[in-house]
Amino acid sequence: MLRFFARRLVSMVFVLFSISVLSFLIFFATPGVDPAARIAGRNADQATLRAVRKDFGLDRPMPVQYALMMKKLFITRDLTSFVNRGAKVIPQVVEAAPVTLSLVLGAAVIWVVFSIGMGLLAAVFRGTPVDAAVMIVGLIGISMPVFWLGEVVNLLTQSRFHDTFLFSWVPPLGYTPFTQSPFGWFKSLIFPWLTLSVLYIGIYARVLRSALVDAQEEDYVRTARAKGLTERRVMLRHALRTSLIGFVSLFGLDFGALVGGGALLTEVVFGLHGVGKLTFELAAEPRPARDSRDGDVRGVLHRARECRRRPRVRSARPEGAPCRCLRCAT
Amino acid sequence: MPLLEVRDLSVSFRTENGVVRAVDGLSLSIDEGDVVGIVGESGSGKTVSMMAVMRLIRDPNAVVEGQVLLRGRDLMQVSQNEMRDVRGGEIAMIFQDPMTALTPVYTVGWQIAEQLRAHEKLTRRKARARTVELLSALAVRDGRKWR
Repeated sequence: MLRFFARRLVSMVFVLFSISVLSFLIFFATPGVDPAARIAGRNADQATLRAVRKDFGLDRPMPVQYALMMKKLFITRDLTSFVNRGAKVIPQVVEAAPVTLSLVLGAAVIWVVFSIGMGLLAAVFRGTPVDAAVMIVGLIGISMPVFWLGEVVNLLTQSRFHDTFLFSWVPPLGYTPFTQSPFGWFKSLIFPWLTLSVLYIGIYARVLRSALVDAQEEDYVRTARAKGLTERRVMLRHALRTSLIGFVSLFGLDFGALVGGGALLTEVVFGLHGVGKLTFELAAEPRPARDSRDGDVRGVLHRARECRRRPRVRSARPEGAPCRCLRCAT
Repeated sequence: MPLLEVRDLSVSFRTENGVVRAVDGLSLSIDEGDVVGIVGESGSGKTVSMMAVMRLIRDPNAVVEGQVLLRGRDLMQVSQNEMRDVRGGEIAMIFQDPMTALTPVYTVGWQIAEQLRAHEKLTRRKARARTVELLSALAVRDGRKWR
């Protein structure tokens, strides 16, 4: 067992190294793209470009650039974002990581427990209305987009029914650190957890059900029955144990993707400043015009209607003034 | 009274191409101490007959008819719970191809002990000791290793 872990650890180091090299090359060695301009941001002046070139050693050989990058990431930890007013990258990620981990871990517990329960239920009652009902519930879960579900949950718990006894305990959107108040942490995350897990409950329940149904045809399940075991034992100890192989592999992939920022929509909807929210903010960054109406869908559309690019719509803008809608501004 | 008596056992499967009769009126009688072999070519119904005796055919499209008398008790009439005591307790079946017939995530010894404990009140430790004993009796070199 120990040797297994050691072997896995060694291969993990290799994988991480290869990924770091690959993503480094994508950013710094793509032909026809000046990495300095990418790092410095849109419309950067020459002084910034020069500073970036020097800072990242862009005039030196590739391996040196790579080593410099790794040094900035792991040793001096002072990788600085030029786009984002000099924000330090590492502290931001370190600060966001516990939020994302809390969200994803809690959701994972919920989705594993519920999907195993539902998968087993559907498989045991295969072909009956129970099976159909469970699978329909799962399908509904898969079909609801997380940003929509999150907004509906917010509407109900924060606004419509917030004053009723049902949801009056729900704290305002945001994250409460576990170290500050474990119960507050739980209260602030319970709805994000449920929202995020709904999709996965549906998928995993279906995956497990089909694996369990397939397992019924296996010789070893027949052997288990021939041994005179109870149906429950056959199901849990023999069919379920082997059916979990695909389930666990899938879990590893999904969990990793979520920790890496895949829970972006959930984090944005629930105002959790996690890794996904960082991604979101970065993607939203190049909009130079920032005013109170930013992010307000109606505002964006309104400005788009005034846009010069649609001359048939009468302009509410003063003649010659630059349009600030999303399409023109970027 | 014979130990096991099978009377006019037939098994048929409803398929898309009509009903297939896999076993057609099998009768046999086994006394205590008898060793009986059923011989036939592949697909002649040897396995299906014996699976039917143990009521292990779960296919909803299978129809099993006839009588299976174990010490005079018709196994076709007993409840699922009673049948569970018979399976692995009074009648055992050893399937071919151990690679697929045993659950891959447990050791052989674990699976033997599991069956022992399903039919007798045994502590984990005693079941394990009995497993080692059984494996050694089968001349498995060092039965302990297979726990």
